[in-house]
Amino acid sequence: MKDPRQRPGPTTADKGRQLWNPGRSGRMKAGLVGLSSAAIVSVYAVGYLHTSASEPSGVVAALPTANAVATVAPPIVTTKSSGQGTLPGAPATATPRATSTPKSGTTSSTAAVYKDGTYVGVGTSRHGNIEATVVVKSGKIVSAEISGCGTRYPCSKVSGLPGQVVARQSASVNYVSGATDSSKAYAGAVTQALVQAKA
Amino acid sequence: MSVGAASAAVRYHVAMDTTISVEVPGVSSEATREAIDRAFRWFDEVERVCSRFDERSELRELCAKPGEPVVVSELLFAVLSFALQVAGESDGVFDPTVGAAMTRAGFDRNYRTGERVAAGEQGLATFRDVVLTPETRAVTMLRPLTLDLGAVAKGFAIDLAAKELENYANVAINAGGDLYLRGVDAQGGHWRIGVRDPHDFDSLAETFILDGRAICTSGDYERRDALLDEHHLLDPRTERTARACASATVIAPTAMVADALATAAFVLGPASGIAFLEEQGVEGMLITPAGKRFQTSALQEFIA
Repeated sequence: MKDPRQRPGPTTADKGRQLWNPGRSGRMKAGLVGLSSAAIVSVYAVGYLHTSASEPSGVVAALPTANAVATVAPPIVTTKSSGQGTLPGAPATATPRATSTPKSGTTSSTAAVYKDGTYVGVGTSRHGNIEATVVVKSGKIVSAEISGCGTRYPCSKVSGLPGQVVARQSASVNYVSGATDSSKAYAGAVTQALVQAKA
Repeated sequence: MSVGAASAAVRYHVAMDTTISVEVPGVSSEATREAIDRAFRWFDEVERVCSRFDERSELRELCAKPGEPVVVSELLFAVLSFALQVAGESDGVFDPTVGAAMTRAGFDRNYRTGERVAAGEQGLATFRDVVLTPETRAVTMLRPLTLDLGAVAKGFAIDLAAKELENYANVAINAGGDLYLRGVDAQGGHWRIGVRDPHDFDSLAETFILDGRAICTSGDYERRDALLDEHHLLDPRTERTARACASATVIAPTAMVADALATAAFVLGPASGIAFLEEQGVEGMLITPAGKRFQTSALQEFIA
């Protein structure tokens, strides 16, 4: 990367950036990993503010303060230097601590409300289109199947569930990193179907 | 949307135009299902805030107010801060302002006058046109511009979902090919993650063993044409489609970092990209169109 000293003089934008980037000029940079870790902690502590079926756009529907404060757990990983990784001694059947999910008014599934019915959506990819049929019962999605496959590759190869496909085809990996055009087509098809289903 | 058989350890959700799966092996209880649903809600939350396509998103409402400080939520401020930091660190190779991306796509003519405009001071907006004031959590866009938080937002959603499930020893989150892994799989073995060979749909270029890490692969193997959607395909230094890499894979402690740096490294190309990743303290692998492979010095620790 270029030596910062060789850059032209700071613009207003640069000066603004320095307000939130005090580490830039020194050797003790927080680093991107540290920055992202801090972001996770601070945003998680705030909880969900926007996701709500009945909330009009632009309005922040804050969770009841008492609920949010009482149920955000104290830092669990105080003995660890990073926020990730296996908790020492965590049993496989660990009971999750309560979080800021509101106690009433919303179900434990997705916040959006769907009308019961069967909906079809189509997603496009350069390999061809993928059609998905989504079934909603009691306001919840019970299935989202590929109902049509116009792709040149067999649909089993181009489904939106690459991990499952690979696991079926080979015992060597659990998942494959990297999106495919066709997995996006499947997601696009389901998204389109759900647009119709939203109350 | 969340789908999954009652007793299975894997549940699916579609959000951010991506299929997300969460696998929590070894536990299948109502409490686990609810925890996974809470994890999915983070994707909905991030989408509601950061969507470039929904005009009611907080991001779109911000972009409607150039020239004035706009106080935004913690979430939007955090994602934007991070994206701009990566832009600064990469000298604009990674840039969340779409203005520059339109140059990349060849949409570099002022649509009113027909004149060609370059990205930068006199032309289209760049990341330097976004000013943040952390004391007030305000964002000021110095000129009208469009922000695309794309992969960074998806990575952040993965990280928030992972935090939601931090009490579970074993977790796999897959959001359209960006992954976070912890612990072991249902058979008690390491999570094994393959990276597709950019030149052969059915083959793997490498297999990694990951625990407490995210992995993201930026790839060109499908030769996308929708450049407005994939702004990282442009090299802003040449204003040409980035061709130095066929794929770029990054392994990092968080998905937001892995996503952003895979994008930057992809555009930077083999030599600069690897150097950039080393500088940022993450591991990665770049594959050129000719099939040659470059990797960071400590990547071997992750190779299966």
